Amino acid sequence: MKDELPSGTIIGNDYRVINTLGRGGFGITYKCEDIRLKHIVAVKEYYPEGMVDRTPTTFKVSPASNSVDIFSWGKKKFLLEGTTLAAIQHKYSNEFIVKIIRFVEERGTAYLVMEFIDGMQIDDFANSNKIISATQVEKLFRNLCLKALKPIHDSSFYHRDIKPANILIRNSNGEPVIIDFGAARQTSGGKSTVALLTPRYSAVEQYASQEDMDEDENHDLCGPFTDIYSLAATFYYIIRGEPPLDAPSRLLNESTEKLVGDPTLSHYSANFLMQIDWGMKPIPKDRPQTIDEWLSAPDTSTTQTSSPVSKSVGASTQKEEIEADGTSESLSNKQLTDGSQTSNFKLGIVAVFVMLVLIVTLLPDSEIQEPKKLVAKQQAKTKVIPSTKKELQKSAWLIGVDAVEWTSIELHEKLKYMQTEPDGLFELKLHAEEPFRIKTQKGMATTKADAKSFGQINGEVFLKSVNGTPQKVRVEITQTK
Amino acid sequence: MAQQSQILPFFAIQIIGKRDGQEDSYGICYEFNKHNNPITGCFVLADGMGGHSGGNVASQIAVDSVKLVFESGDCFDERMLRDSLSSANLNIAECIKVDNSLEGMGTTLVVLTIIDGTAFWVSVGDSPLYCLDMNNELHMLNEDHSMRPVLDQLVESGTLSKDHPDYYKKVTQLRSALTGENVELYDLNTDGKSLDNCRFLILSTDGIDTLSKQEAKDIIVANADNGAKEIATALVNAVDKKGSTKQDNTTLIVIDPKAYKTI
Repeated sequence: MKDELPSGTIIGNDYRVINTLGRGGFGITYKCEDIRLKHIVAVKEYYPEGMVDRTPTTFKVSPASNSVDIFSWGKKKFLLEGTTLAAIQHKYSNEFIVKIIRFVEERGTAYLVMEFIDGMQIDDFANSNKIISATQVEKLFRNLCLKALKPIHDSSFYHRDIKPANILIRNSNGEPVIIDFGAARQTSGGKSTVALLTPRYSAVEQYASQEDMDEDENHDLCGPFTDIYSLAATFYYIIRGEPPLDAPSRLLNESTEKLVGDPTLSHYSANFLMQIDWGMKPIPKDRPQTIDEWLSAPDTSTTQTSSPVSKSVGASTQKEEIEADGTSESLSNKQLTDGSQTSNFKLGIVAVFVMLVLIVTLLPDSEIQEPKKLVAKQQAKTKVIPSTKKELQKSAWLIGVDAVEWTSIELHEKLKYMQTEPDGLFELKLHAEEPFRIKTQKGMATTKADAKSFGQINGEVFLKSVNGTPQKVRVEITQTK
Repeated sequence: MAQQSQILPFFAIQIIGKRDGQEDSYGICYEFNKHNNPITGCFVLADGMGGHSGGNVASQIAVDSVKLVFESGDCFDERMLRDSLSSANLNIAECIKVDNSLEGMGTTLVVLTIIDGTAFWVSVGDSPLYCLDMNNELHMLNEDHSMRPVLDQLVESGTLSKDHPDYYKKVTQLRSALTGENVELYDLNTDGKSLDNCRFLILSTDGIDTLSKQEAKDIIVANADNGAKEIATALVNAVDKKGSTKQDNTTLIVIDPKAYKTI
């Protein structure tokens, strides 16, 4: 992207940009080398998208004229996040919260220099072939509660953006670490939609409250129970293989679905499932109010059977199945994707084998969504969520298909964003209500309304409507390996 | 033709309120049978949002897209509702692609179609579709995708007080709108709602919220015997009369469903 710092740029006299690791709405994270100590760090730049511009020559960041106040307020919050985290680190000195090395103010903006974590996202970790037993999932949960969230909450700070992408599992020891705090997220920039949140993992009070630069935080609706919701929703995803509905929908639908009692999840302890159910209660006061409460007492309103919670927190009494570092290195995480991996990936795209599953169907969209996945009971004893291994990532979009010109489905562009492994296998599904032509490097075919064909293709896919009028085609790509 | 003078069983009206421009858009398509009675109707309403001219553009694109879907079909069909939604959203996305300055624009959308005395609709956002029933009770038929129902639940649970500043800041925010992005939350009614017990249908943008539900109901009931036009006119006059200094654009389509019951 043109507005990212190019490689070679020096930040804070000490850190040379190697490449961009990732970006979100409020910042860009770079992989950098400490030029004195010769080690790798991650540097996050405060760069709220849509609010700022960068001067091409000096790389100076300046806010748009109508965003000056909110930019500097956000910058202050960004730095406060850094100092708070550093203070928590200093006090508790643990490996479960990302280490802040220093912060820098220059180019009109601010930078947080953090340790570079060689690891993968918790959901990728759970979906990978590396492991993983129910016991290990429960251990990850307890460690995140006691060693990451509790110290943060004890410091009167909330993370506010717990989600799979913000929890990495270190390749070195298989332990979780929380990254990318969301303190400076909820600026009042949005006019009339609630799009700033991470819908599936944000608690309902986050939708209902707004942090403003001109107000103190005395009437903040959020609390430890907010992070508790998000962590529970994250583990719901890991357990079920699909994220929960967004919190407002769960509140309005009076969602009563529970994990506990689900026979397909019998390999988890009932106590753990109850904890997740309890943490995901839509109304804040129905949830555990603190981490201690969460871990100490199961919610009696959902109690069916209870088995004692294992006390072996972090003590590694269970035998783990994590493989040694060497084999884990090729597994990148979405947040911190290495540049070399990205370029490998680009090369990989050319040779990517795309499994083409062409389904032209008259079914309405709601009926073509993936059926709910259930874990086969015999497998469930030893493996967690085997059903999701087949669907690591999915992306779907609508394209308008012309009747005259070929329309590219821009497969490569999408695959790039999916940031998957270079030689991943993909399944492509196309849904339309009318017949259309499809062109690939292998040739051309005309689909019928009831056609169903399978094949493998290389390269881009082009579509054209056959009945003389443009139409819409729903494209869905799923990574299958 | 003589039939031209017959009272159409619907009436649409718009006011700008105290805003700089009109960001609401609406459209109506209908079909006559050989006796020149309207047999089916499609009513579209969109409340645009998002800075500068964007809101206006988004709502107009949405309405045009829907009209195109209905006008190009051989007959009215509830399946067209789904097409309407995706077509409107797709065209908004395309438009943003062409002109980056429109990024962030979006719109609500309600598409109502009446077939054989049954109403079908698709709705995204917070533009209400009301039914005044034969007992003169007013019911909202579509889902409200604003934060209001969520906040009200939180108020009910004691989490939030109605006096909390966040309540008023958040209450009009939308949980779903057509912005060219994936629309995950929408209300699609293809089962149909019988209009046997319905005196009038009222489609509106949220500018009508200046009136309390009771006030709106009283006005509708008081004018119900005089037909769709009188109801619509009386409602916007009442909104105007409130004199709110921040009065939002308001658009109303009032429909008398009786005409659609007897073909």
